[in-house]
Amino acid sequence: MRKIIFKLKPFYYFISTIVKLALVVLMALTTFNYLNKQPLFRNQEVNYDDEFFNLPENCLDYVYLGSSHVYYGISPTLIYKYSGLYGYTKGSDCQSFEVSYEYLKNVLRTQSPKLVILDGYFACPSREGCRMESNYIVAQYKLRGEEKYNVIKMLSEEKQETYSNEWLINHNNWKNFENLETFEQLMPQKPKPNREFGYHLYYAFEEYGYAWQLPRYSYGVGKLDEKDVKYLNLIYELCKENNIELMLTMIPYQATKADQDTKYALWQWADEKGIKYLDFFNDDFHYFVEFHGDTSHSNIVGVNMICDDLSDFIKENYSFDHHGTEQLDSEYSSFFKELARYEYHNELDPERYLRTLKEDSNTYYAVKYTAGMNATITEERDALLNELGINLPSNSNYYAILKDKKILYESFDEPLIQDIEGHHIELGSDYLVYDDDYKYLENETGLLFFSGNWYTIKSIDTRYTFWETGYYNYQKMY
Amino acid sequence: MQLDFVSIYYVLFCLIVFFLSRPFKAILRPYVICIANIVFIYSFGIMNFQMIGIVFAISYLFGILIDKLKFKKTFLAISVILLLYLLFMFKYPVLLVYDKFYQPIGLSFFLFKALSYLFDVKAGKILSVKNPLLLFDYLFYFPTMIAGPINRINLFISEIKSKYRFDYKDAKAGGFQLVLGIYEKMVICDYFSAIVAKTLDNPEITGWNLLFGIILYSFQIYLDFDSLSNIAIGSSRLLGIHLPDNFRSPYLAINLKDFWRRWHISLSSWFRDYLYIPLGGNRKGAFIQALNLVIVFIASGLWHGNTLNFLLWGLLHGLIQVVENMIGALLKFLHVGKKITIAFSPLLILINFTIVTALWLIFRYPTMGEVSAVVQRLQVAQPFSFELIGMTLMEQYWLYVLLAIVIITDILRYFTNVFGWFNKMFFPLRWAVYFTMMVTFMVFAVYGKGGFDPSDFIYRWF
Repeated sequence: MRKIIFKLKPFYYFISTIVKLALVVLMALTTFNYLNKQPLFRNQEVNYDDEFFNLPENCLDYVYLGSSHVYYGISPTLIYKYSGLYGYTKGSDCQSFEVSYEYLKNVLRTQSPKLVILDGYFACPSREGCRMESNYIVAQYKLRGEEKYNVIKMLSEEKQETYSNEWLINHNNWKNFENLETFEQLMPQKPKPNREFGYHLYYAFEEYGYAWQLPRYSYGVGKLDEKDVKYLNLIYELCKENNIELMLTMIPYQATKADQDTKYALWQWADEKGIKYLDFFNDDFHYFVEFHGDTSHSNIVGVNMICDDLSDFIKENYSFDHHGTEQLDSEYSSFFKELARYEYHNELDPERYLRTLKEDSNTYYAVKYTAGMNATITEERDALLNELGINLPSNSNYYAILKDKKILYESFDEPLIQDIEGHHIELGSDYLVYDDDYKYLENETGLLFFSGNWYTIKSIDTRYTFWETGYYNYQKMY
Repeated sequence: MQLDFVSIYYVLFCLIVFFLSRPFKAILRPYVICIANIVFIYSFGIMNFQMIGIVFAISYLFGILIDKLKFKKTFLAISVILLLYLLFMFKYPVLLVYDKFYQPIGLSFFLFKALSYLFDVKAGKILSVKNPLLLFDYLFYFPTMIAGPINRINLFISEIKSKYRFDYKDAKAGGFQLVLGIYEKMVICDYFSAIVAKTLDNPEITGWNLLFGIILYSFQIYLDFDSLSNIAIGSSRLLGIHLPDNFRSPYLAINLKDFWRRWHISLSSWFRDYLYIPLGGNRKGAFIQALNLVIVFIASGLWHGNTLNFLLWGLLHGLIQVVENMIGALLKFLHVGKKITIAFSPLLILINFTIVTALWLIFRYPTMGEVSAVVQRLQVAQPFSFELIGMTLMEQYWLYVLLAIVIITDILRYFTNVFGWFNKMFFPLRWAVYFTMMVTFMVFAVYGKGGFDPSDFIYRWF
């Protein structure tokens, strides 16, 4: 027996070593995996799209793929409002069709949407201004698993090594960790209303952007890039295999003639495949979309218009076995309310804004009404205005300052010039002055409210302005 | 794919060699080690074999000639000249007669091993090695290729040829020392290195902040080399071959003589045994001893590099030791030597550390002009501020922790065998330490690309 034990001793040590090594490796992998998921070791400036991966499986009715035109231009919350459908936008900067293909594969691991909508911007020559390397980096953050590494492989070799293990660049974040406040900031936050279901709120309607009249071109038919066609076909095949309808769009932006020509090549491809498409750049200039400064992305007014029309198109052309859940209904609705409340409710829900004014007894509001410019004053809005003490004249300009449902100062036709609590305010037909700030309001129409926290903000906070022109004015012009 | 010491590939490589070498009978182990050595060298480039082949041929051939034939001194002299020529050929390119020669990794280290072998054969301490495999294994033993320690052939061959008896505790201690070396390098040394760069390389950092950087550089250079040694000794111990310790709390030395008994022990003992003692050591009077000391340290300086600064660095080390010897002799004459040493040891340690740190400045910079610029910057007043250096609050706290770990560990190493003591620790406590090291390594180590390149080993290209 002793001889046997003696002979077995080396094997015991060998096995003991193996077991201990295995334990150490297991401990290391578990610890590493745990640390890798901690907020401290993530890049705080990027979007990992946790929200998508935390969705219940197979809950989405549609997924929207594309570039920043999509994630700034399409609000699933608004589409939910208009159609009742659950959707998600999986967009990234200048997203190529190759990346969209990877996104779609990734989406299909956990979701089974009935409809995939693909925006065709990347087919257009304007995309040549895109910096693809940094775009791939941003895109891979919102992916997991095999598709993440497929997008990482699109990077240069050196960057591939870095981003294959993001730990390498992020594990030094502890150096910036100063106190509990930093810690709290690093903890996962509830998605803000300006970033929900993939949608990023780009511009608040803080001031008047310019409205871009889409040019009328005589369109030629351009040519699609071979690589784009390859990945368009792959996306089409993947949808077909999974019994998913594929739809194309071209979300409005300042398109060149070459872009418009390429767009028609894309529609030709779609026609060959029997794919439906919605061209927001339609010939009768239905769209009078509001841009704010940049010429590529819609502000909230434009988003609202696009989502409304898109929802109509979807309802006309597709049918869904929509399985609503209380949880998701509640989330979409609450995001809609947040969006409305979070600075921009006036654009979407003017009645709500006026009701807010009724509750607010502390803030001064300036009112400016330009006669003949046809603000959309519905009966309900008229009643709410009356409750605030405002009775709009029919034929003259109107300026007033109110607080706590009382008109403190008002003027008809003549500009209102007033000093209040040490602040100077002037309201004219096309301008507004608050202390030293002068705002020229070109082509202002309708009814405008301005408010500011006169104790802390010097410049006029014009966020609470709204009107419903553009679309309606256009109708009246033609 | 290079088998860099601080890489997972090296650890895996060591484990593979460990598992392959252990089960085999003693007769096969040299073959396994030989293949491991070849694979290791090959990972750094096939051109390394060029010089390795030449050194091996000279060592093997002249070892036999010295052992078996007459004219031992002549053969020794020829082999030493040839080997030293190869060494200085790369340090002083004017000697490079053939521009296709490729400087291999660890040239200085395996050349010194070759020289020590030939000297020992000449002195009759060992017989020449007939089995070329054994000599190859000794000269190009992979754990010692990068930066030593410069071990001696007799112990190596006896261990590699010995009948195999697996000592589990010994192997475990070796594995831990290997991991500890990597930890020391990547968590502590590279962290200090980043701060040193922020101070010494930033011309706007002066005064106290610069002094802080200089002191930290002392720690950096120590940890850099100590980590290499730990990796080498640990990975060799895994394979059942014991290498000598290379560091023994050098910054707790009370004078330079003590310092060199604790710093790069294998190199200083090599110079002692093969240069200082043959020159006469301390047996030919105080003047000759002083001269020998200066010669040895000039040689040591030149071994490190080919600039005047390295020569000056070595010369100053030699001269200061001469002065120390004179003071020591005086104190001994007054019969107060030991009492002074014991009573003032903390002060002596501080003074010695200051001298060594100041001399490291000469070591760091290629010219005296740059050293002088640093000294001038030291004189420009600047209040001490971590913010000026560019460190966040967390980085400061972590620095304190690391400095405490280094100082406490060194004090422990001064008094005891830390690894032995650790191995006897109660096992849950030991595993708690392993786990803490694992987590701190993951979080705090300086590694990877993406703007965080680990610093190169300072001693690799000597």
